[in-house]
Amino acid sequence: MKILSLAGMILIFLVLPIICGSVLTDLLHVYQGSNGRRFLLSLVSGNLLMWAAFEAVAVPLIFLRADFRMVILLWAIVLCAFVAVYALVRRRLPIAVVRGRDLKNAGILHDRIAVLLLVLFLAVVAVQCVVYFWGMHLDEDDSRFVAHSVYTWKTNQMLTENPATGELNLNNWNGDYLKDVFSPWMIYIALIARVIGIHPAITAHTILPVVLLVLSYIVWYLAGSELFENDKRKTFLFCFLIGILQLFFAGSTRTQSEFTLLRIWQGKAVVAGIGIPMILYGFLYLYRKQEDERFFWMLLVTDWTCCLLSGMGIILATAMIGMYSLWYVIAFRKWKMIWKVPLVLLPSIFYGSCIYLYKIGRLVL
Amino acid sequence: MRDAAIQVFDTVRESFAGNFFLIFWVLSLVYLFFADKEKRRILVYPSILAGVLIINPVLYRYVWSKVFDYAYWRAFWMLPILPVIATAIVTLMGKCRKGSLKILTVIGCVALCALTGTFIYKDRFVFRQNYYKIPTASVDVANALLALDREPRAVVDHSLFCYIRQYSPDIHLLYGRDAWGFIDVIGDRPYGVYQQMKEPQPDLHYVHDQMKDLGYEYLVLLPSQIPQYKPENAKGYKASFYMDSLKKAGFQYLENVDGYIICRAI
Repeated sequence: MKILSLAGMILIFLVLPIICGSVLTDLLHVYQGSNGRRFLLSLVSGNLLMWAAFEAVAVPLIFLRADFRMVILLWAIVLCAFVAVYALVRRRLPIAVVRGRDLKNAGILHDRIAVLLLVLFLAVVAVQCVVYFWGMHLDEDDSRFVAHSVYTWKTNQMLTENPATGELNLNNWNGDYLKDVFSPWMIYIALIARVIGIHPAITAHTILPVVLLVLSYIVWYLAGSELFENDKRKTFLFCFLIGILQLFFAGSTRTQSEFTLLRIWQGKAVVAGIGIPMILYGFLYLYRKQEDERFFWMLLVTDWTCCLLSGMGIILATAMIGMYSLWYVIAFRKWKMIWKVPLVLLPSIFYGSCIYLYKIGRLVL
Repeated sequence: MRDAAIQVFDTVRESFAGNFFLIFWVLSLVYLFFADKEKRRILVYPSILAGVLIINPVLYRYVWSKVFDYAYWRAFWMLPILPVIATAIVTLMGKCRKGSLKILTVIGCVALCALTGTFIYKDRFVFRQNYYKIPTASVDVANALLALDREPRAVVDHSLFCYIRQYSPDIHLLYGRDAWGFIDVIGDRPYGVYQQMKEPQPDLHYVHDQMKDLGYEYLVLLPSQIPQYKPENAKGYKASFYMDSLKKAGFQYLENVDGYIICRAI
């Protein structure tokens, strides 16, 4: 069972994201000459693509009160179809890998200061992962999120119960329950728990935080590499500083770091820890490489992902992409890009409209 | 508009309480504006634009308060505070010529942020009691209830109700966190039971009657909530101390699990 769980983890946290992400980065022609960064971006964007695909599949099936196993099956088919169609059309499957030769060529191993800064950065991340793995932080919000996951994992029913009490709640998707229907991150946790064969509470509280935190720092690394034009020393120092500063960005319970370092397994915290940094990184990439506008599609995937993560994610992604696009269009005189912005925001607009229509009673299923 | 400005100011003050990161962010933006043309273009201007649009009483009144509702403070996540501060420190360090000065600059800036900030893990994490990362008492009580019934219907102490269903969805509760007014509104009768169970000495007759009416069988409570409880007996307690008073209220004592009394409504 332990070996199967480990195999499941390697599959869902490593193999699938790398395959899906490699296809995405290849489609967008990102970092063609930089295998290290391409590998890391593939890992992150592959996860985002898997999450976006889950959102696309799960929401209609939740409305149809379908079986959870149907969602898993369709989700797997969608991902396989995406990769298969790409492989058939291009007649190859691009898998991003990191080779020792790439590191040598990049000169990291010869630069002692860069190595030292990398070690410091990794040490900070490791400490935070250790705290997540061995520490326990109780959060009452889990009585909704994790309880939903456990229920789905056990019964194959999705969001048909009141998570607080367990009573059937088939026709009462009001308030925050409605947000859960359109942002079913907790059902995705149940999917992970099913794939790796581990109880959702353990998956959410012990395994997922470590994975998500590492993904979060990969995004910061990519953002740093854009900010400092891939200067390794400055990028590693930037990431180290982000890690250290996060540790002291507290006091109120509302800061981005509080959500990232204390409860990253919750959807809204994934928005804070991965979604928002990813949008920032996307725009840093676009601001720097203005001729490479294909990266806008990465923002579409990110926006779709934020819809899965949290109801607030729908609003935050819309507002942030809107604001930063405004700067992109005005400052770099990319007037032709105006049409792309609503296109990138299509998932947010669609799910946001559905929530609104459901609230006013115009969407009944 | 004055009210909106006050609300924006209050939210900013509450959200950045315990650290000076907002001030450091502004200082970093000012520094980067003059220090690095490229950063000004790709980081400073977009940050200023975001700041002006987010911390804005007019937009708060007409947009943010409507879309964010009670959680306007989450809009502050869109301000790139940490990356701007980190970039400013890296840029400042880059301007230093001597190696020792570079190290001192980084250490000084980090120390300033650390000393004026609040350590995030302070009183927030404890060593895990189990891999589920929920109180072990809730796991043990859940297991005890599941040993009694396949799908037990229970009323549990408020220290347990947030966690028990994270362990098993088979346990049905009369009320959970919704009794605190979160997410959903619970019925008058479950709320009445919750109000009683909050008391140091609840009216167990009332609790029993409501449980029987609503179809709930098991009650999990603290020994101190049982009327005949005496602190001097707590150390070497015997079940018989509780049995009589529980019986009078219509409950059958079943067991004591991790300091919680489990009984059945008869």
